[in-house]
Amino acid sequence: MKIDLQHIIFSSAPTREDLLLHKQPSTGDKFVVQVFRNHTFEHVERLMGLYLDYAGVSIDFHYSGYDDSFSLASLDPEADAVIMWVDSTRYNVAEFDTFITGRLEAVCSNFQRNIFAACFGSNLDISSIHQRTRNQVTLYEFNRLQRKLGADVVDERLEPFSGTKLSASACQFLAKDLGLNYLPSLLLPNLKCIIVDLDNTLYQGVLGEDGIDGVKVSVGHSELQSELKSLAQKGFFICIVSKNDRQDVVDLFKIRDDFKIGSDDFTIISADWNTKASSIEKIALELNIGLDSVLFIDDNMGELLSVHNSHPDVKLIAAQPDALVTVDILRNFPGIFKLHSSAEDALRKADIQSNQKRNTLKASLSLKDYLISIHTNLIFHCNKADHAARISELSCKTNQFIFSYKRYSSAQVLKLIDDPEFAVVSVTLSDSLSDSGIIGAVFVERLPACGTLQECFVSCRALGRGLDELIVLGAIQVALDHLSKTALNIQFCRGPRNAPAESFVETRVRTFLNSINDFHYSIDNSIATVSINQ
Amino acid sequence: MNTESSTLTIISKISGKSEAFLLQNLSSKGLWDSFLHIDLVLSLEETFKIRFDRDDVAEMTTPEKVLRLIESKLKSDGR
Repeated sequence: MKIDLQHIIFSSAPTREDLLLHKQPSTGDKFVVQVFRNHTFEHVERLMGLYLDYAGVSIDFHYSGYDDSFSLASLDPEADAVIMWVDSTRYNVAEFDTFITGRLEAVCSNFQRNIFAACFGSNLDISSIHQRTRNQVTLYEFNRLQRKLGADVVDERLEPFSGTKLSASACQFLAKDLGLNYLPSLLLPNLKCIIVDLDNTLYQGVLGEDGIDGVKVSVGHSELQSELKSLAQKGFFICIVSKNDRQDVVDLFKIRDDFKIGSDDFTIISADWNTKASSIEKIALELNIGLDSVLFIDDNMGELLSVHNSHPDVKLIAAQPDALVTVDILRNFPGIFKLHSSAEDALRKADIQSNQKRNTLKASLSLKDYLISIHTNLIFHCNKADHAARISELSCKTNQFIFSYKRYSSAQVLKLIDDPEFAVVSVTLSDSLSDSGIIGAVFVERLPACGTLQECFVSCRALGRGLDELIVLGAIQVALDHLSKTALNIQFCRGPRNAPAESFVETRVRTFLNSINDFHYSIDNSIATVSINQ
Repeated sequence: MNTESSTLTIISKISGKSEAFLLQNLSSKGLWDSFLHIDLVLSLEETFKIRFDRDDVAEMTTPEKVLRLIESKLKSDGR
């Protein structure tokens, strides 16, 4: 549990010495990040251990020499990410944007994973980079640093010795921002769900004792409510787990018009007397997400410990009496910062809430009648380049219905889309209740004797609607047709949590595992409107 | 605050060398690398509430030179 580190980072303001003494964790996910630079990055790296420890990642930084030309001679395609650490003040300003954009494109064409570019002294605009690779590049927003430090960003006095114009304060700020926000988001999937307690967390006071009119919303609590609302709009599931009377909670949100967040902003409200660990588990099941993508915020250390003991993968924030501190922790919590937003982000909550309506309908009708009643619309898209970012996102965060855990980057998806020996079929789903956007994809490679299914994944939001077979087998059929193949072979790799996918394979397509057989699936248009976008 | 003792403590902490070793090597160069040099400068500035100029930073190559520089800075500040 990282609560002790939370206190050091957010409540006691660590000194430079504290940061230098805190080494990176030896446990946690290990990554290699290659740094190309024309000024020193090490002064940032050396202060980053505490933050990476809090984020649960361990990074081995591999450095290039100092090179204003950014020749990228030693680019390692196996690295987990690349950092371009650039001091633009060393160049003729007029030519800088063209030069560095060209170098970024050169990395993109030779490196398949995420690229982080921090161009000090420049307001670089990368809109001229080809749209297909733009999502691969994340630019650091130096105005974050400027807003915090103003003129103290630069220390030219120490530059001849430090190898950078960035001041010590700037390096310390960057260590925190990169260590908590940018690097975890570059290397790990984002969190999906934030579960918040009510009493003394979302407001000041105890609902059961102080009453609906008695609980107080301080400036900090108001800010926390706004922040949660904003995160809901960015696609995070925001839920409540509270030991309170449910009707009191419902009335609270109805009556208190000074709250910045309303009941509609929450995906699930769990207010009862069950243990919080069991309520959190139930929410994760209902949302079809893993507990490792859940963040729980509570002011009660006993509750946090109890949740940690039952579900060690759940991330925790100890809410502080000064809620502004809680807001600061939440804004900087690893896995919250989004590098890019997608259209699916906005659809997510509505889609889950529609699932509850779907379940009610499903209970009253036969499956076929139910699917017809909600006007299900399914489209198979073959090799659609502008789906690459979402396909990559899905491949990286799907854990349950996934066949091989290949975890494609956006650039890798694009490469396969361009490869005539591959068919990448993405599937979009909508019905009269909601538009789910892209919910799955299959990757099929043409081999002499057959098409081989290299990977298949479907979002948890689309599963359990009675469409699993149509989505997966339909997509495979579209891919085989595209590659002019009639025989199929399926690759499957059992993982820690892909039992739903394994069960599907066992019951539907077992004969294609490790052997080649003729495959034909007739797409059933009677339960859904199905179209194919070649 | 004993200036010499405090300075040696900081150099020892930053360089990873014992104070006894530093006392025996007061005139030795190369006891810390360029990254530790910056750490040393910043740590001394913070501890003694002083500010070095670029020439001072270039001058701080041995424990003895660091000690003399700190004493001179504090003296000129009337401390």
